[in-house]
Parts: sequence; structure tokens; C-alpha cells
Amino acid sequence: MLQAAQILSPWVGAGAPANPYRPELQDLALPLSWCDATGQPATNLTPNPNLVLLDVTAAPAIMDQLAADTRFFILSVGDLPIPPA
Amino acid sequence: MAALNRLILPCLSGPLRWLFRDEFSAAASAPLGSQLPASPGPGSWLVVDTEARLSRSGGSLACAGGKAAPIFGDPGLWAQAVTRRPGLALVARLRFSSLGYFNLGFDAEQTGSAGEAAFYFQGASIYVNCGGASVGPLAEVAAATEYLLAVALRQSGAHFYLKGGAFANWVRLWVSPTGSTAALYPALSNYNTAFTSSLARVVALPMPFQSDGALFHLRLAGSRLAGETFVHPAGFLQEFTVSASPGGLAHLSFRRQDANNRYFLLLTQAGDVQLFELSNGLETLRASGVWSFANGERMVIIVDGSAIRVFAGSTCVLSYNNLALFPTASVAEITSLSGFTLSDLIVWPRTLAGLPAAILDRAGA
Repeated sequence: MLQAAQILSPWVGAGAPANPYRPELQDLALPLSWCDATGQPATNLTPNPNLVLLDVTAAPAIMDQLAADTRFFILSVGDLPIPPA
Repeated sequence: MAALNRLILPCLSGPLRWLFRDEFSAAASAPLGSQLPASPGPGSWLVVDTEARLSRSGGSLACAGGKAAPIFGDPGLWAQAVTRRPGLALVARLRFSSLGYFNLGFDAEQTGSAGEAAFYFQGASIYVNCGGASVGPLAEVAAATEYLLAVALRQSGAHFYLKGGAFANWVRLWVSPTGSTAALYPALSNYNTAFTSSLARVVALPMPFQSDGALFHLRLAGSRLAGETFVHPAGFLQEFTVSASPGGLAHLSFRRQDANNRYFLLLTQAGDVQLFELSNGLETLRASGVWSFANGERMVIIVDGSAIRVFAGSTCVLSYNNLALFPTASVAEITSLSGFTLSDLIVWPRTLAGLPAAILDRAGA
């Protein structure tokens, strides 16, 4: 069972190869998939307030971990449907 | 040019050979009975429809939905078996009045879902079933919109094509290497959608559909080297085989304008796949996914407009919908390989044009 969520995360980084702009959520190195839902141009990073909207897919335990972390805001979360075979 | 015309003109003007053809021109009320002759033919359907959801009128097959307790294949229709060969295709027109779960394609049996080489609609998302595994999501469809669909068999696997709605031209959704069952049943297998179909045909498509070599944009066989570049179409499917040692990584660029302006993917043996944007030297991580790395895995990158999807085997491991930069750049680069082998790279055009598109148009006209 996987869940899909929309999560707000701060940006971190400086746009350099060794320190690229990235959502802070990435630094947790958790087993999850995410993508930037905004496509905000790199020249405008970091914004004020410093938040980026992410589409995240992960197991429920990972979502629980993110929900307990005050750096991130879960806007919505739900189970991904299991299609009939 | 004369030689080219000798090749092309018969493909455009010669007769297409139908192995099965139903344009649903003969009316039939529900229940349809277990055997339904195709009209005008040749062929007939085996029909499974215990709750009388199917009917045929006004030049269309209509399905009013699934069973009260839905199962795949009831209602369902299967034509007689055909024998797999490259270029043999099922072409159909389809319009959903309500979205749900539905299969259309080639089935290895006449029951249940179609798993051998078939479209698998899951709500608005299109997946495909290949050799029993589902791959996707590959694109989105809308209700109340007519689509032309084509599944064209390969020696093993199939090509999946779609036209209609947001897709003004034929697009190649997926190229599958999986599935080699010889005896295949053209099938429409419903779970819970309501739809109409005005055409279902099985046709032996002429060249270039009988040869992968006549359809791909380029193939770079064998192990590839860091620093290699090639030109990709605006929209493309790029597939390749990976193997790596612990700690290995690959860095693959596309839409490369120059060293400081490009997108690139980072693949690691540890199981990361990451999409970076490099704009005027500013590097931004735009998407990240995880995968279970396996030596010999076939990976596919699909780039179409502002969207990218990356697949490892049949699993979509990364997607991103805001590829806004460098839309006209067309250079790909194997930027670096470290403890990572990338081999047998094939690039397919996402959009069909010219002869292949004209042939599919004729097959669905």
C-alpha cells in the first residue's frame, strides 16, 4: 500500500553542483518519490515564504514520519487505489 | 525518390488486409448472445455478458457499465485467435462515457482481463499490460472524447499508439519487449466503465510496422561511453539496459543547450533516480524517486512536452510535469558513467509522422 500526498517543504541549497537547490525533505534520505509541483524558476529561489509544494508518494509509515516533522506541512494525503487484476 | 515512392505508395494506396473487422453496423439489442458476428466481417466475437450490459446500434457497440459486482471480462468480447507476427495490429475507436477500469488489446485467453499486449485504462490514466505486467501511467484520457487506439505486435512485445483528444497526432505511448505468446485473442474486457466503440479491426500493417529498425529514431548497440552525444526528437522514448557495481552512478543529459543549460538524470546503483535542472549554471533538483536496482534492468525515459517519466522495468520511478526550459534543444549526452554500464540504447520518436501515421490513419478510418 502506498499513499500520495501534497506536502510543503522549505528549499535548501545554493544552486551549486555540490549544494543544489532542493526541497529540505530530500535531505531526510527517506524511501519516497517526490516531484516539484510548482516548477518555480531557479532564479526566484528561494522564495519568501520559503516553501515548495511537492507531490509525494510513500508508504504510510513514511507519511507518518513526515507528519511528525514540524519542518513539513501535509496538505492532503490518501491511499493510492489498487487496480483490479 | 523513385525508389522511395515504390516503397511508400503501395503502403498508402494498397489494400489493408483485415483479419477481423467489426464496424458494429448491424443492430443487436442486449443481451447479445454468446456469439456475435462481426459486421461487415470477417470474424465473430465470443461474448460474455451475464448482466446484459452490451448492445449494438447506430454503428457502435455500447457498454452500459460493469456488473453490479464488477469483474474483468464480464462484459467482455474476444475475437478468434490470431497468430503473433510483427506488424499485426488491433485498431479500435473508443469513447468513454464514464471512466473506470477497462482493457483493450490482445489476450492470451478468452476470459478475464487482457494481459498479453493491451491498453489498461485506470480512470483517466492509461497503463498497458505487457506479458502480464502493468506499466504506467503513460498518459491521460478524458470522458466523452473519441480515441483511436492501436496495439501493433512485435516478435516479442508490442507498440502502443494513441490518437485523439489532447493528442492531435498519433503518439507512441510505450514499446514493450515483453510477451511472446503466439496465439492471441483480440479483446475488449470491461470492469466498470461505460463506453462506445465504432470500430475494432485486426489488420496486418505493412512496412515499416513489421520492423523495429524502420521505426526507431536511432539505436546505439553495445556498451555506451561517457561523453557520447546524439540528437533526440522533441518528444521521445529512450530505452537502455543498465548494470553497475556498488557505488556506481550515471549522469544522462537531455535537452542540452550547453554545459550550463540542460536537464539531466542521475541514476545510482544504490537505487536513486533524480532529475536536475541546470539553468545558467544554477542547479536545482526537481524530482526524485527510488528503485530497486537490478543488473540487466531495462530503463525507459519518456519526454513529451513539459512532462518526463522514468521507468525501471514496468515501474514508474520518477515523474515531473514542468520541463519548461530548453524546449527546442535536442542534444542528449551520456555525460558521465562511473562504475555504471549503459548498453543497447534505443530512441523512439514520441509522435508518429509521415508514412507510419498515414498507415494508422487508414487502419482506423
